[in-house]
Amino acid sequence: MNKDPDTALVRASRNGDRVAFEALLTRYERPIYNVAMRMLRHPEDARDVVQSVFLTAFEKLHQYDFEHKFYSWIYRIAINESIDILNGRTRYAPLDEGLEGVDDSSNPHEAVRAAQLGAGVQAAMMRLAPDYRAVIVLRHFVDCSYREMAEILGVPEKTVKSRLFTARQLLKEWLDADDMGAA
Amino acid sequence: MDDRTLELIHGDIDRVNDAEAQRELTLRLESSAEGRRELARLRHLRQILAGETDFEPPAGLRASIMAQIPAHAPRPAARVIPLRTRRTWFGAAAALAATAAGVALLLGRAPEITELDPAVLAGTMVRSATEASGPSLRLDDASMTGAISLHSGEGRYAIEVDLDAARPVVIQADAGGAQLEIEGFVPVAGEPAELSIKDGGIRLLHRGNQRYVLVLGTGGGAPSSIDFSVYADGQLVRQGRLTWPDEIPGGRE
Repeated sequence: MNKDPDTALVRASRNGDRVAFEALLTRYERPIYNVAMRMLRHPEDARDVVQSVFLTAFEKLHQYDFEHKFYSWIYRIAINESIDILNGRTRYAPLDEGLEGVDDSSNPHEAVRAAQLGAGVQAAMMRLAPDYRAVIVLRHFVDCSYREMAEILGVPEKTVKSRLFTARQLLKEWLDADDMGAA
Repeated sequence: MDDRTLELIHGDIDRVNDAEAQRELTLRLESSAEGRRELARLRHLRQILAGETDFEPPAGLRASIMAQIPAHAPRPAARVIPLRTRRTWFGAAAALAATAAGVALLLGRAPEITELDPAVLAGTMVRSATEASGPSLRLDDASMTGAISLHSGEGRYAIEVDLDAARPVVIQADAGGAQLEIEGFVPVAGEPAELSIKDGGIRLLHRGNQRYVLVLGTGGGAPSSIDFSVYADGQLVRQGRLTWPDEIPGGRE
Protein backbone atom coordinates (compact mmCIF):
# COMPACT_ATOMS: atom_id res chain seq x y z
CA MET A 1 0.00 0.00 0.00
CA ASN A 2 1.26 3.44 -0.90
CA LYS A 3 1.53 5.56 2.25
CA ASP A 4 2.93 8.52 0.43
CA PRO A 5 2.07 11.63 2.49
CA ASP A 6 1.67 13.55 -0.78
CA THR A 7 -1.11 11.36 -2.11
CA ALA A 8 -4.03 13.48 -0.92
CA LEU A 9 -2.46 16.64 -2.32
CA VAL A 10 -1.73 14.95 -5.64
CA ARG A 11 -5.30 13.67 -5.93
CA ALA A 12 -6.69 17.10 -5.19
CA SER A 13 -4.27 18.75 -7.62
CA ARG A 14 -5.31 16.32 -10.30
CA ASN A 15 -8.85 17.55 -9.89
CA GLY A 16 -7.75 21.12 -10.40
CA ASP A 17 -7.26 22.19 -6.79
CA ARG A 18 -4.69 24.98 -7.07
CA VAL A 19 -4.30 25.30 -3.32
CA ALA A 20 -3.28 21.64 -3.12
CA PHE A 21 -0.81 22.08 -5.95
CA GLU A 22 0.66 25.15 -4.29
CA ALA A 23 1.11 23.06 -1.13
CA LEU A 24 3.12 20.54 -3.15
CA LEU A 25 5.10 23.37 -4.68
CA THR A 26 5.79 24.81 -1.23
CA ARG A 27 6.93 21.41 -0.01
CA TYR A 28 9.24 20.67 -2.93
CA GLU A 29 10.36 24.03 -4.28
CA ARG A 30 13.45 24.20 -2.10
CA PRO A 31 14.54 20.53 -2.44
CA ILE A 32 14.10 20.63 -6.21
CA TYR A 33 15.95 23.93 -6.48
CA ASN A 34 18.79 22.45 -4.47
CA VAL A 35 18.94 19.34 -6.64
CA ALA A 36 19.10 21.54 -9.71
CA MET A 37 21.76 23.79 -8.20
CA ARG A 38 23.92 20.84 -7.23
CA MET A 39 23.54 19.38 -10.69
CA LEU A 40 24.04 22.64 -12.61
CA ARG A 41 25.75 25.18 -10.35
CA HIS A 42 23.93 27.90 -12.18
CA PRO A 43 21.13 29.86 -10.45
CA GLU A 44 19.28 30.85 -13.61
CA ASP A 45 19.35 27.32 -15.00
CA ALA A 46 18.28 25.95 -11.62
CA ARG A 47 15.39 28.38 -11.55
CA ASP A 48 14.37 27.26 -15.04
CA VAL A 49 14.51 23.64 -13.93
CA VAL A 50 12.22 24.28 -10.97
CA GLN A 51 9.71 26.07 -13.20
CA SER A 52 9.84 23.38 -15.80
CA VAL A 53 9.56 20.58 -13.24
CA PHE A 54 6.40 21.94 -11.65
CA LEU A 55 4.72 22.93 -14.89
CA THR A 56 5.50 19.51 -16.34
CA ALA A 57 4.27 17.83 -13.18
CA PHE A 58 1.00 19.73 -13.30
CA GLU A 59 0.46 18.89 -16.96
CA LYS A 60 1.22 15.23 -16.42
CA LEU A 61 -0.48 14.63 -13.10
CA HIS A 62 -3.07 12.47 -14.86
CA GLN A 63 -0.23 10.11 -15.82
CA TYR A 64 1.12 9.86 -12.29
CA ASP A 65 0.89 6.33 -10.93
CA PHE A 66 -0.05 6.22 -7.25
CA GLU A 67 1.92 3.00 -6.91
CA HIS A 68 5.03 5.18 -6.80
CA LYS A 69 6.07 7.91 -4.43
CA PHE A 70 5.35 11.41 -5.64
CA TYR A 71 8.78 12.67 -4.63
CA SER A 72 10.45 9.92 -6.68
CA TRP A 73 8.44 11.04 -9.66
CA ILE A 74 9.20 14.72 -9.25
CA TYR A 75 12.90 14.17 -8.51
CA ARG A 76 13.09 12.07 -11.62
CA ILE A 77 11.72 14.96 -13.67
CA ALA A 78 14.21 17.31 -12.00
CA ILE A 79 17.21 15.09 -12.66
CA ASN A 80 16.19 14.54 -16.27
CA GLU A 81 15.62 18.25 -16.84
CA SER A 82 19.02 19.02 -15.32
CA ILE A 83 20.77 16.42 -17.43
CA ASP A 84 19.05 17.79 -20.52
CA ILE A 85 20.45 21.22 -19.73
CA LEU A 86 23.91 19.78 -19.08
CA ASN A 87 23.82 17.92 -22.35
CA GLY A 88 22.81 21.10 -24.14
CA ARG A 89 25.60 23.16 -22.68
CA THR A 90 28.34 23.97 -25.10
CA ARG A 91 30.64 24.71 -22.26
CA TYR A 92 30.42 24.82 -18.54
CA ALA A 93 30.12 28.26 -17.00
CA PRO A 94 31.10 27.72 -13.40
CA LEU A 95 29.40 29.55 -10.63
CA ASP A 96 32.07 31.98 -9.55
CA GLU A 97 31.36 32.24 -5.89
CA GLY A 98 34.94 32.74 -4.80
CA LEU A 99 35.00 33.39 -1.15
CA GLU A 100 31.65 35.15 -1.10
CA GLY A 101 29.55 34.09 1.80
CA VAL A 102 32.46 33.53 4.14
CA ASP A 103 31.11 33.57 7.64
CA ASP A 104 33.14 36.28 9.32
CA SER A 105 31.52 35.75 12.68
CA SER A 106 33.60 32.65 13.36
CA ASN A 107 37.34 32.14 13.46
CA PRO A 108 38.59 33.80 10.24
CA HIS A 109 41.00 30.96 9.43
CA GLU A 110 38.30 28.34 9.87
CA ALA A 111 35.83 30.38 7.87
CA VAL A 112 38.24 30.80 4.97
CA ARG A 113 39.15 27.13 5.12
CA ALA A 114 35.45 26.19 5.07
CA ALA A 115 34.82 28.43 2.10
CA GLN A 116 37.80 26.97 0.25
CA LEU A 117 36.55 23.51 1.03
CA GLY A 118 33.07 24.36 -0.21
CA ALA A 119 34.45 25.78 -3.44
CA GLY A 120 36.64 22.71 -3.86
CA VAL A 121 33.69 20.37 -3.41
CA GLN A 122 31.62 22.34 -5.88
CA ALA A 123 34.40 22.28 -8.44
CA ALA A 124 34.91 18.56 -7.95
CA MET A 125 31.18 17.90 -8.29
CA MET A 126 31.13 19.73 -11.59
CA ARG A 127 33.91 17.53 -12.92
CA LEU A 128 31.72 14.47 -12.46
CA ALA A 129 29.76 13.21 -15.44
CA PRO A 130 26.01 13.91 -15.04
CA ASP A 131 25.10 10.30 -14.19
CA TYR A 132 27.71 10.22 -11.41
CA ARG A 133 26.79 13.67 -10.19
CA ALA A 134 23.15 12.61 -9.95
CA VAL A 135 23.88 9.71 -7.60
CA ILE A 136 26.01 11.89 -5.32
CA VAL A 137 23.26 14.51 -5.20
CA LEU A 138 20.52 11.99 -4.49
CA ARG A 139 22.49 10.07 -1.89
CA HIS A 140 24.33 12.80 -0.02
CA PHE A 141 22.04 15.80 -0.42
CA VAL A 142 18.57 14.26 -0.74
CA ASP A 143 19.34 11.22 1.44
CA CYS A 144 17.74 8.71 -0.91
CA SER A 145 18.14 4.98 -0.37
CA TYR A 146 19.61 2.79 -3.13
CA ARG A 147 16.11 1.61 -4.00
CA GLU A 148 14.75 5.15 -4.22
CA MET A 149 17.67 6.21 -6.37
CA ALA A 150 17.10 3.26 -8.67
CA GLU A 151 13.46 4.28 -9.04
CA ILE A 152 14.27 7.92 -9.68
CA LEU A 153 17.03 7.20 -12.18
CA GLY A 154 15.31 4.24 -13.81
CA VAL A 155 18.30 1.94 -13.40
CA PRO A 156 18.92 -1.19 -11.31
CA GLU A 157 20.20 -0.82 -7.73
CA LYS A 158 23.39 -2.53 -8.78
CA THR A 159 24.04 0.27 -11.27
CA VAL A 160 23.28 2.87 -8.60
CA LYS A 161 25.87 1.32 -6.26
CA SER A 162 28.45 1.05 -8.99
CA ARG A 163 28.00 4.69 -10.01
CA LEU A 164 28.09 5.80 -6.39
CA PHE A 165 31.32 3.94 -5.68
CA THR A 166 32.99 5.38 -8.76
CA ALA A 167 31.71 8.91 -8.14
CA ARG A 168 33.00 8.90 -4.56
CA GLN A 169 36.30 7.52 -5.67
CA LEU A 170 36.70 10.34 -8.18
CA LEU A 171 35.62 13.02 -5.73
CA LYS A 172 37.99 11.69 -3.12
CA GLU A 173 40.91 11.64 -5.54
CA TRP A 174 40.26 15.16 -6.81
CA LEU A 175 39.86 16.58 -3.33
CA ASP A 176 43.02 14.77 -2.23
CA ALA A 177 44.86 16.27 -5.18
CA ASP A 178 43.67 19.72 -4.11
CA ASP A 179 44.79 18.95 -0.57
CA MET A 180 41.24 19.26 0.72
CA GLY A 181 40.32 15.70 1.26
CA ALA A 182 43.01 14.64 3.68
CA ALA A 183 41.47 13.01 6.67
CA MET B 1 41.59 -4.29 -1.27
CA ASP B 2 38.99 -6.84 -2.33
CA ASP B 3 35.52 -6.04 -3.65
CA ARG B 4 33.74 -7.32 -0.53
CA THR B 5 35.71 -5.01 1.75
CA LEU B 6 35.03 -2.09 -0.57
CA GLU B 7 31.33 -2.92 -0.62
CA LEU B 8 31.23 -3.03 3.17
CA ILE B 9 33.08 0.28 3.40
CA HIS B 10 30.54 1.96 1.14
CA GLY B 11 27.80 0.27 3.12
CA ASP B 12 29.22 1.93 6.21
CA ILE B 13 29.32 5.29 4.45
CA ASP B 14 25.67 4.88 3.41
CA ARG B 15 24.73 3.45 6.81
CA VAL B 16 23.12 0.42 5.25
CA ASN B 17 25.27 -2.26 6.89
CA ASP B 18 23.43 -4.38 9.41
CA ALA B 19 25.18 -5.48 12.61
CA GLU B 20 26.59 -8.61 11.00
CA ALA B 21 27.98 -6.70 8.02
CA GLN B 22 29.48 -4.10 10.34
CA ARG B 23 31.19 -6.84 12.37
CA GLU B 24 32.55 -8.35 9.17
CA LEU B 25 33.89 -4.94 8.14
CA THR B 26 35.59 -4.49 11.51
CA LEU B 27 37.27 -7.88 11.18
CA ARG B 28 38.42 -7.18 7.67
CA LEU B 29 39.80 -3.75 8.56
CA GLU B 30 41.86 -5.21 11.41
CA SER B 31 44.11 -6.76 8.82
CA SER B 32 43.87 -4.07 6.15
CA ALA B 33 45.59 -0.74 6.61
CA GLU B 34 44.51 0.22 3.11
CA GLY B 35 40.90 -0.50 4.04
CA ARG B 36 41.15 1.63 7.16
CA ARG B 37 42.57 4.52 5.17
CA GLU B 38 39.83 4.18 2.56
CA LEU B 39 37.12 4.21 5.19
CA ALA B 40 38.63 7.27 6.88
CA ARG B 41 38.83 9.16 3.59
CA LEU B 42 35.30 8.28 2.57
CA ARG B 43 33.94 9.26 5.97
CA HIS B 44 35.76 12.55 5.60
CA LEU B 45 34.24 13.01 2.15
CA ARG B 46 30.80 12.30 3.59
CA GLN B 47 31.44 14.90 6.27
CA ILE B 48 32.51 17.47 3.70
CA LEU B 49 29.39 16.84 1.61
CA ALA B 50 27.18 16.99 4.69
CA GLY B 51 28.69 20.37 5.53
CA GLU B 52 27.50 21.91 2.28
CA THR B 53 24.85 24.51 2.94
CA ASP B 54 21.51 24.61 1.16
CA PHE B 55 20.74 27.07 -1.58
CA GLU B 56 17.84 29.45 -1.15
CA PRO B 57 15.35 29.48 -4.04
CA PRO B 58 14.99 32.91 -5.63
CA ALA B 59 12.27 35.13 -4.24
CA GLY B 60 9.13 35.11 -6.30
CA LEU B 61 9.80 31.77 -7.95
CA ARG B 62 6.78 30.09 -6.38
CA ALA B 63 4.48 32.93 -7.33
CA SER B 64 5.85 32.91 -10.86
CA ILE B 65 5.12 29.19 -11.21
CA MET B 66 1.62 29.50 -9.78
CA ALA B 67 0.89 32.32 -12.19
CA GLN B 68 1.57 29.91 -15.04
CA ILE B 69 -0.65 27.17 -13.67
CA PRO B 70 -3.99 27.16 -15.49
CA ALA B 71 -7.18 27.59 -13.50
CA HIS B 72 -8.38 24.08 -14.32
CA ALA B 73 -6.65 20.74 -14.14
CA PRO B 74 -5.13 20.04 -17.54
CA ARG B 75 -6.36 17.10 -19.51
CA PRO B 76 -4.87 15.91 -22.72
CA ALA B 77 -6.95 16.91 -25.69
CA ALA B 78 -8.88 14.03 -27.17
CA ARG B 79 -10.86 13.68 -30.30
CA VAL B 80 -13.61 11.24 -30.99
CA ILE B 81 -12.55 9.50 -34.12
CA PRO B 82 -13.87 6.58 -36.09
CA LEU B 83 -12.37 3.21 -35.48
CA ARG B 84 -9.85 1.91 -37.89
CA THR B 85 -10.29 -1.79 -37.80
CA ARG B 86 -9.60 -4.49 -40.26
CA ARG B 87 -13.28 -5.21 -40.34
CA THR B 88 -16.00 -2.97 -41.68
CA TRP B 89 -18.58 -4.03 -39.13
CA PHE B 90 -19.23 -0.37 -38.61
CA GLY B 91 -18.88 2.27 -41.23
CA ALA B 92 -16.61 5.06 -40.18
CA ALA B 93 -19.42 7.59 -40.21
CA ALA B 94 -21.70 5.34 -38.20
CA ALA B 95 -19.00 4.73 -35.62
CA LEU B 96 -18.22 8.39 -35.36
CA ALA B 97 -21.84 9.36 -34.98
CA ALA B 98 -22.51 6.63 -32.47
CA THR B 99 -19.51 7.61 -30.39
CA ALA B 100 -20.32 11.28 -30.50
CA ALA B 101 -23.89 10.53 -29.52
CA GLY B 102 -22.75 8.29 -26.70
CA VAL B 103 -20.34 10.82 -25.33
CA ALA B 104 -22.83 13.62 -25.79
CA LEU B 105 -25.21 11.59 -23.70
CA LEU B 106 -22.62 11.63 -21.00
CA LEU B 107 -22.12 15.31 -21.41
CA GLY B 108 -25.83 15.97 -21.40
CA ARG B 109 -25.97 17.92 -24.61
CA ALA B 110 -26.97 17.44 -28.18
CA PRO B 111 -24.96 14.91 -30.14
CA GLU B 112 -22.25 16.47 -32.21
CA ILE B 113 -18.87 15.52 -33.47
CA THR B 114 -16.53 17.69 -31.51
CA GLU B 115 -13.40 17.98 -29.51
CA LEU B 116 -13.94 16.32 -26.17
CA ASP B 117 -12.50 16.99 -22.81
CA PRO B 118 -11.67 13.55 -21.44
CA ALA B 119 -11.99 14.99 -17.95
CA VAL B 120 -15.71 15.34 -18.56
CA LEU B 121 -15.91 11.90 -20.02
CA ALA B 122 -13.94 10.75 -17.05
CA GLY B 123 -16.60 12.02 -14.73
CA THR B 124 -18.67 8.99 -15.51
CA MET B 125 -16.39 6.65 -17.31
CA VAL B 126 -12.67 7.18 -17.41
CA ARG B 127 -10.70 7.12 -14.24
CA SER B 128 -8.52 10.17 -14.67
CA ALA B 129 -10.93 12.49 -12.92
CA THR B 130 -12.66 10.04 -10.64
CA GLU B 131 -10.92 7.73 -8.32
CA ALA B 132 -14.05 5.56 -8.35
CA SER B 133 -12.70 3.68 -11.31
CA GLY B 134 -13.85 0.27 -12.32
CA PRO B 135 -11.88 -2.93 -11.87
CA SER B 136 -8.36 -2.91 -13.22
CA LEU B 137 -5.85 -5.44 -14.38
CA ARG B 138 -2.37 -4.16 -13.56
CA LEU B 139 0.27 -4.87 -16.17
CA ASP B 140 3.55 -4.19 -14.44
CA ASP B 141 6.75 -6.01 -15.15
CA ALA B 142 10.27 -5.15 -16.19
CA SER B 143 9.18 -4.03 -19.66
CA MET B 144 5.79 -2.43 -19.10
CA THR B 145 3.74 -0.51 -16.62
CA GLY B 146 0.06 0.35 -16.74
CA ALA B 147 -3.38 -1.17 -16.55
CA ILE B 148 -6.51 -2.22 -18.38
CA SER B 149 -9.67 -0.96 -16.70
CA LEU B 150 -13.40 -1.29 -17.17
CA HIS B 151 -15.75 1.63 -16.74
CA SER B 152 -19.49 2.00 -16.96
CA GLY B 153 -22.18 4.54 -16.39
CA GLU B 154 -25.04 6.38 -18.03
CA GLY B 155 -25.79 3.39 -20.17
CA ARG B 156 -22.30 3.30 -21.67
CA TYR B 157 -19.43 1.05 -20.93
CA ALA B 158 -15.82 1.10 -21.93
CA ILE B 159 -12.42 -0.51 -21.81
CA GLU B 160 -9.54 1.78 -20.97
CA VAL B 161 -5.96 0.86 -21.79
CA ASP B 162 -3.25 2.98 -20.15
CA LEU B 163 0.05 1.29 -20.78
CA ASP B 164 3.68 2.19 -21.27
CA ALA B 165 5.33 -0.80 -22.93
CA ALA B 166 8.97 -1.02 -23.94
CA ARG B 167 8.17 -3.68 -26.52
CA PRO B 168 5.06 -4.40 -28.63
CA VAL B 169 2.26 -5.99 -26.66
CA VAL B 170 -0.83 -7.79 -27.92
CA ILE B 171 -3.96 -7.45 -25.79
CA GLN B 172 -6.75 -9.92 -26.49
CA ALA B 173 -10.20 -9.26 -25.00
CA ASP B 174 -12.81 -12.01 -25.05
CA ALA B 175 -16.28 -12.20 -23.59
CA GLY B 176 -16.77 -15.91 -23.34
CA GLY B 177 -17.97 -16.30 -26.89
CA ALA B 178 -20.26 -13.27 -26.82
CA GLN B 179 -19.84 -10.69 -29.51
CA LEU B 180 -18.01 -7.53 -28.44
CA GLU B 181 -19.04 -4.51 -30.43
CA ILE B 182 -17.14 -1.25 -30.47
CA GLU B 183 -19.07 1.95 -30.93
CA GLY B 184 -16.20 4.32 -30.71
CA PHE B 185 -12.70 5.11 -29.74
CA VAL B 186 -11.32 7.94 -27.61
CA PRO B 187 -7.56 8.45 -27.87
CA VAL B 188 -6.45 10.12 -24.66
CA ALA B 189 -2.75 9.89 -25.38
CA GLY B 190 -2.23 7.90 -28.54
CA GLU B 191 -3.91 4.83 -29.92
CA PRO B 192 -3.13 1.19 -30.61
CA ALA B 193 -1.00 0.41 -33.62
CA GLU B 194 -3.60 -2.05 -34.77
CA LEU B 195 -7.09 -3.09 -33.73
CA SER B 196 -8.97 -6.07 -35.07
CA ILE B 197 -12.10 -8.07 -34.34
CA LYS B 198 -12.03 -11.82 -34.55
CA ASP B 199 -14.45 -14.46 -33.29
CA GLY B 200 -16.26 -11.86 -31.23
CA GLY B 201 -13.09 -10.80 -29.42
CA ILE B 202 -10.97 -7.68 -29.71
CA ARG B 203 -7.26 -7.76 -30.45
CA LEU B 204 -5.08 -4.71 -29.87
CA LEU B 205 -1.48 -4.30 -30.88
CA HIS B 206 -0.06 -1.81 -28.41
CA ARG B 207 3.24 -0.01 -28.83
CA GLY B 208 4.95 2.48 -26.52
CA ASN B 209 3.20 4.77 -24.07
CA GLN B 210 -0.45 5.02 -25.08
CA ARG B 211 -3.74 5.62 -23.36
CA TYR B 212 -7.09 5.15 -25.06
CA VAL B 213 -10.67 4.13 -24.43
CA LEU B 214 -12.82 1.74 -26.42
CA VAL B 215 -16.49 2.61 -26.06
CA LEU B 216 -18.46 -0.60 -26.37
CA GLY B 217 -21.87 -1.07 -27.93
CA THR B 218 -24.82 -2.19 -25.83
CA GLY B 219 -27.02 -3.33 -28.67
CA GLY B 220 -26.56 -7.01 -28.03
CA GLY B 221 -26.41 -6.64 -24.28
CA ALA B 222 -23.17 -6.21 -22.39
CA PRO B 223 -21.15 -9.22 -21.26
CA SER B 224 -20.90 -9.57 -17.50
CA SER B 225 -17.13 -9.90 -17.68
CA ILE B 226 -14.23 -9.82 -20.11
CA ASP B 227 -11.17 -12.04 -20.16
CA PHE B 228 -7.94 -10.30 -21.03
CA SER B 229 -4.80 -12.02 -22.25
CA VAL B 230 -1.61 -10.04 -22.74
CA TYR B 231 1.20 -11.28 -24.95
CA ALA B 232 4.73 -9.97 -25.45
CA ASP B 233 7.13 -11.56 -27.91
CA GLY B 234 4.50 -14.21 -28.58
CA GLN B 235 4.44 -15.29 -24.93
CA LEU B 236 1.46 -14.97 -22.61
CA VAL B 237 2.64 -12.59 -19.87
CA ARG B 238 -0.60 -11.73 -18.07
CA GLN B 239 -4.14 -13.00 -17.93
CA GLY B 240 -7.15 -11.88 -15.95
CA ARG B 241 -10.89 -11.48 -15.87
CA LEU B 242 -12.57 -8.16 -15.17
CA THR B 243 -16.24 -7.83 -14.25
CA TRP B 244 -18.21 -4.69 -14.92
CA PRO B 245 -18.57 -2.52 -11.85
CA ASP B 246 -22.25 -1.61 -12.20
CA GLU B 247 -25.44 -2.69 -13.83
CA ILE B 248 -25.84 -0.75 -17.01
CA PRO B 249 -29.34 0.56 -17.52
CA GLY B 250 -30.64 -0.81 -20.75
CA GLY B 251 -27.41 -2.63 -21.40
CA ARG B 252 -27.16 -6.09 -19.97
CA GLU B 253 -30.12 -8.39 -20.21
